[in-house]
Amino acid sequence: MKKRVLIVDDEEGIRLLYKEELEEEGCEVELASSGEEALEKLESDNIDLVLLDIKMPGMDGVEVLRKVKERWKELPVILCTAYPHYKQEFGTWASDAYVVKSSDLRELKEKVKDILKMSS
Amino acid sequence: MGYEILSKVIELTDSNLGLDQRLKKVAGLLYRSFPVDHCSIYRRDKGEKLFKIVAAGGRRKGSVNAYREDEGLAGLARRSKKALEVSTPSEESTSWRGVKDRGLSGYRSAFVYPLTDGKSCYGVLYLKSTNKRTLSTTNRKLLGVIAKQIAASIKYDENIVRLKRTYNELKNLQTRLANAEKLMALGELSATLAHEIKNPLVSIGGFAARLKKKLDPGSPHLVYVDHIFNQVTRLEEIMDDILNFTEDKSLKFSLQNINPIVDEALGLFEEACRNQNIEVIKDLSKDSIQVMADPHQLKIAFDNLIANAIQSMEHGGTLTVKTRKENDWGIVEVSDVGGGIAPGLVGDIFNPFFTTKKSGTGLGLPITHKIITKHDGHIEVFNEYGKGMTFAVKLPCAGKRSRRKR
Repeated sequence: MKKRVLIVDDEEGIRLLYKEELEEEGCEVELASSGEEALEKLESDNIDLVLLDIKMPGMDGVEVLRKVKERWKELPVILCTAYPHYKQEFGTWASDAYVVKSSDLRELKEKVKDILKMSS
Repeated sequence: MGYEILSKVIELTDSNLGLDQRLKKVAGLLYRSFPVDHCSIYRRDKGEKLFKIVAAGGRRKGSVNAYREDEGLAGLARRSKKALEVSTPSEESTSWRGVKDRGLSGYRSAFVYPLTDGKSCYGVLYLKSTNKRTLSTTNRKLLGVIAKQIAASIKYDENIVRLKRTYNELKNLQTRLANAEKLMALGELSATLAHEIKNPLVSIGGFAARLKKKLDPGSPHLVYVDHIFNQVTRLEEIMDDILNFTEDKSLKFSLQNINPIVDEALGLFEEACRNQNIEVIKDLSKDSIQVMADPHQLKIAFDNLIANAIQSMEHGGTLTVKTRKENDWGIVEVSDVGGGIAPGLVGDIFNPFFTTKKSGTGLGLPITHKIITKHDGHIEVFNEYGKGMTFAVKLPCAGKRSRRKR
């Protein structure tokens, strides 16, 4: 069964780009443009992995991370952010992986594949 | 006549010449105006506790260069805060009323005035005659006033010097503060920039890469797409440089070997060196050099030094990287033959607000400097304008107790 990834980012370009790249890797992709929307989707759909942006208007990624971990402890979350190593210590213990956004998506895709393989 | 002398003294002490020059002119004037064979002015150095001669007129014989604060007639005048009228039985005498003073040799009388403002003593005025003389009351009073004027002049000059020093310190502090504020503002700016600029860059670069996959391998448009992607990478590197510099990352220290880190850094630039016709000479120490370091940060520091060296040798050259242990320091030297920089600019190379680069942020060296400083090390720069430069990074070896530089 195909793995489902939820991409949470307020930027349309990022959502579209990640969706295309991950679909190519064999995943099913869901999109959310805000923290609130992300939590809604997590309630209704079966998600295997969350890609989470930190800086978003409204509920920011940190809060979403906390809420996700409270309700779905086992659900892996990868933090994607434009800040290089900023808050790295925080990100490391709270999330399952921390990726700095870059136009080279190899690292992100590696981490996604890593984590999804482990889950099954 | 007395008034003329006095007004001349005032005129001389008030002029724009340096203090010592003014005092020399005064000494000359007093020698000519009074019945003496020698006139000298001593200035007090409180730090060294000495009276040092700064001006003399007339006969040079028997002139004493310096008295200790409590020595001779100078010391006596300072202690008693009174003018002294001295006469000795013969030219050979070198003491008066129990006070030894070798300046008396060759003279029969002397007149010593402390240069004081009533509180502090700034020096002494020392007049000497080979004959047995006394001063008239008028002359005595005149010299007393002149002594006060000279004292005032010295005091004023010392105050000016102190004021200038304080002013310069303030200016320095101001510059440092302004720089710190700039950095802080930069930090705040960078956090926003990171988000606002990086996201679009990710989109542009990411879709360029996707486009590339859709093109035929032989397509002439591949070049366009490559170009877009390369420029995006370049912009991302600039953003990383800025953010790396303005963040205050906490470093994670552990026991590290310097040589493997240097090796890894060099490895990264192997291809660039080949492409640019740069010969790489690697001279690493046989023994391992251990330091407490954050390996990731240290590698960045070395990366920047090597990149800097390579950039200076656009048309090829030699890159030399050496490591060695000296006393309790681990030393990493990166040398290039890229022509060095103009001597006046050497002091600015670690300044983040200064760059001679035509492209890039010029933050590589400042970042390296910041990282090395956080590792309790320092960087020495050897610049040969026209030939090349050597950067010597010095890091304290692990277990080194004292941080004193040998």
